[in-house]
Amino acid sequence: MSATLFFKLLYVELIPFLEIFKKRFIDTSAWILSRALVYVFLFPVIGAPVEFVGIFFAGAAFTGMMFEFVGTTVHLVDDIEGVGLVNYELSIPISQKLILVKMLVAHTVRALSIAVISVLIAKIAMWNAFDLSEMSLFLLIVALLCMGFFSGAFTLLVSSRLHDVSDISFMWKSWVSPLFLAGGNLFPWRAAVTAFPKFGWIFLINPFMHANELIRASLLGQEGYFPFWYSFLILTAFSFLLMCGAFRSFKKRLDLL
Amino acid sequence: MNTVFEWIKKAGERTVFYLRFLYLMTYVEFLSIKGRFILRVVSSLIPLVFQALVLIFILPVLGISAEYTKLVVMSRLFISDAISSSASLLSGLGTVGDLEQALMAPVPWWLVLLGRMFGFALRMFSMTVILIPFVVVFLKGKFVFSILSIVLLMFSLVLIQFFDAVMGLWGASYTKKMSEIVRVWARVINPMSFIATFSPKWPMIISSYPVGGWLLLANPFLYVHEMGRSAVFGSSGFIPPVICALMLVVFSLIFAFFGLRRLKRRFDLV
Repeated sequence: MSATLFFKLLYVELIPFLEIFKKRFIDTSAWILSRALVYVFLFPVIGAPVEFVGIFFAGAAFTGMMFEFVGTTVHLVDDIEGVGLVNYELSIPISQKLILVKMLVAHTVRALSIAVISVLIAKIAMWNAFDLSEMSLFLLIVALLCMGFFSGAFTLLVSSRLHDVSDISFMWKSWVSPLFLAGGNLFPWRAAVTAFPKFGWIFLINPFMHANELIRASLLGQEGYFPFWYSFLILTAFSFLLMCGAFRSFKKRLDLL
Repeated sequence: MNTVFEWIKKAGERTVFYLRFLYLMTYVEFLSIKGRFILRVVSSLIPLVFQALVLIFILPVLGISAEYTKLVVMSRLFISDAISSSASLLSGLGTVGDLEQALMAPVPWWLVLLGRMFGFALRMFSMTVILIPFVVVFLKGKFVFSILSIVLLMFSLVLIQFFDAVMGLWGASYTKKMSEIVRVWARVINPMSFIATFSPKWPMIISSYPVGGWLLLANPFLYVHEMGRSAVFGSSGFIPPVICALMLVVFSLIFAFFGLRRLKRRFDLV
């Protein structure tokens, strides 16, 4: 009974996403193409190395997830504050924890789909410039699932702490953006270690760095990146911590049983 | 003759009233962050510091020239915050309703929106001015003070922040609800802004890609960064600041016109 209801609610939550998927596809394409223009045409003007294209576009999957994070957080906070779908679902005779798990799974699926289309669009846009000959499909699937879970848990935690939609800009600038910028969306961990030999390890405290290293190791090959399985374990641990934090925060905020 | 004087007098009084209203709207919008100003400055400073760290210390390790990254760091300062301008405008029109109240005042509707834009531009200008010294610290050793033109920089910032506010208004005109606010940003504002921020000096582009270089001139954000960069690093090698200023004014007028027109239709303003 609970399982059927769970999947039905999940289905209901994902239906609107399918409707806006086309819009998300256009958003992601615009974002990837603008980057392609810069890295393929403008960077050679300043003599930047070709491998930068691969480093950036492999990380594009996680950056795409972060774009989804903003939209989902705004939507979720708007919904909670406006006595919307979440409050209705919590009144259904099903475990309230299951509703939170359903939200987490829905965010994970959304983040995953954006990550997949980001990599696909990047490959189509860049073609030869984005070399995927070292790619491992198995590692890619593991990396995407792990990143998706992390992104879902992160979205849930941030949404549980935000009380007003207008606060998202502040939250983004003061918390998420530093993690994102220092999280290697433009550089691999080895570059951070070369730049700061004594403090390079500090970057490993950042879960975003592991997400980017995971996807790069799976798409571009392990050489030059942090060991895949270490990153996987660390990111999974972070995801569980964030998930527990989000559940506890929602329990307090929504006065759950 | 008396009628003409009467008309001039009335027109003068009305203009003074409008200007005073505009001043008050700007002032109220500017004051809306009173008490949160330092928090806002700090929240803008944090990503700036992190981006500067990445650009100045880490990207050169990957073979990207430090001469180029300093341009990007400076550009980062001018980068648009049009998304929060749109959010502020939309929340004013939607749930909060403070803008709706102002729209009932006996002044033309566009004056109210213009006041809001001026206020936002003034707010962003004051925040950017505070952030400049921090960027200077990061660019230590790469920064030649004798080249810096304070007058040109201030003039550039005024135009840039006004353009930013106009982009916010234009973005808001295409956004029906808050949850869609990312859309116009992701599709139009962010790609244009990103391409301009990470562009090297325009003459360098035109020498490598003549067609691409000319096409880039259609991007208004290019003038934002060329103008700001030339104020800080000297005008040699950049598009002349006068041309940038003119183009920014033209683009601001175009985007303001279309933004106001759409908002007028959507909210049935008279």
